[in-house]
Amino acid sequence: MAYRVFRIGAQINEQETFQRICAGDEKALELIYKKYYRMMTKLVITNSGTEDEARDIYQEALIIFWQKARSGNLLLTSKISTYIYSICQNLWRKELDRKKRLSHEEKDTAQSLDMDSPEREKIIAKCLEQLGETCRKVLMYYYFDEMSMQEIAEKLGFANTDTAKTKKYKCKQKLDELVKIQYSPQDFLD
Amino acid sequence: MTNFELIDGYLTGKLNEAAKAAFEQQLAADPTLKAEVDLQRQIVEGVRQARVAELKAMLNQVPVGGSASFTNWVAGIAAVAVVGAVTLWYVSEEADVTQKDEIPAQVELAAPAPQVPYQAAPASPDSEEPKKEEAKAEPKTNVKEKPKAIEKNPVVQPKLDVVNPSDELNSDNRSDEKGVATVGTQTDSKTLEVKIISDGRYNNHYQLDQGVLILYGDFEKTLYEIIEIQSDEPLAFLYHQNRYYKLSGNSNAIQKLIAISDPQLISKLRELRKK
Repeated sequence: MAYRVFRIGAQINEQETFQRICAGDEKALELIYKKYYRMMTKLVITNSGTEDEARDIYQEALIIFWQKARSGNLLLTSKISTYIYSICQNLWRKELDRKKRLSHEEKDTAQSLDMDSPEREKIIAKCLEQLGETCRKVLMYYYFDEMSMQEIAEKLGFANTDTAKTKKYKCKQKLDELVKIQYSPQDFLD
Repeated sequence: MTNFELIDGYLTGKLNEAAKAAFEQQLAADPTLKAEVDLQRQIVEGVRQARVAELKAMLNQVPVGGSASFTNWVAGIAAVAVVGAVTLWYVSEEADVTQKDEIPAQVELAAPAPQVPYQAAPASPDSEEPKKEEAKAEPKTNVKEKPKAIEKNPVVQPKLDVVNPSDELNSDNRSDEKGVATVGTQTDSKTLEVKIISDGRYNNHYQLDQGVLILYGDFEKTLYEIIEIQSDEPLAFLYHQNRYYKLSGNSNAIQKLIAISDPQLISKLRELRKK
């Protein structure tokens, strides 16, 4: 005889997951990612997208959701999935528009607004890597996740918010230095 | 405020209106400052992009079915469920997110299978706290005698799971013994599909037919458990709010949930749950 017990909490999971996301729990983000993967990627795939594009769009959307939830400005009035789905829709619509425009304007030398920007991103990414784990985390949490100093201190195990503040200041100074060395003079002239 | 703090505050939108206006005036008058702010903007943007890349890399590590092996999938779900149960009761105390009932039509269109628990679990706007003692317990996955049976059954089935586990199972070239047909898709006959209807028509009723269990009543807000016993004659029990109910199937009638009173059976079921 084999048996199994499974338990289900319906509404609770949704709220719990959202709370965890708001608290910056990356595991909860992974959980959501997995749960809605098929549903969200299907949206893109059935609308003339490839699987890679679908994954990209879904990840973008999820990260937008993450950042909004993290910053504390998101008042969720629908299900998480509904919300993410609508972001996916918007992103994919934009991407389709962009593609259409590109194919129309191919002759008018596709004008990219900022050709250098990926280059710069690469430079900054490289500099970030030189900083070391803690610095990197502090800066990312501060600038992207928009965590408070209190939250950063808790998350990274600093003694108090002052430590976090000092850390952030020093790490940023260090990053600035590194970037300024890497940047060629023309990069300043734009 | 130092220049550093000012620029940082400006770029992260932390300056108040007055400070922001003053800073922008300064910016217009001072090309050196402007250049520094532009550089700082790029750096901040670069840090954000690096974080996005990091999160994407993290997500790319998440097995999303299909390519992932089935064992990983079960282990992942089970682990997640354990974490969920442990953190459940304290989170739900402060949880205060109201959810709307509706889901846009297009979401349903895109959903992989009708098992998507939207229709099954209409969220109720008012959220109640789950019973603590129920939430504390861990989900268990137990298989007696035949360990290989674990491959046959997705052991834990979190409610939010949109990807129907049975899809996973079927794609693993498993043979379906019964192949219960639910609307439009094939479902593993061994896994009870649970739906909840809480529109007030029936309270504490159920219907068990062809592997689909419909619970009528207030099951949205509290945890419940389904205990399935797989033997020659499949048996299923419901545990809800400290009571046990036997679910007899295949009559296609909506039946009232009547709590089991047989102490022997109750203690047996309790044992199963505790394991």
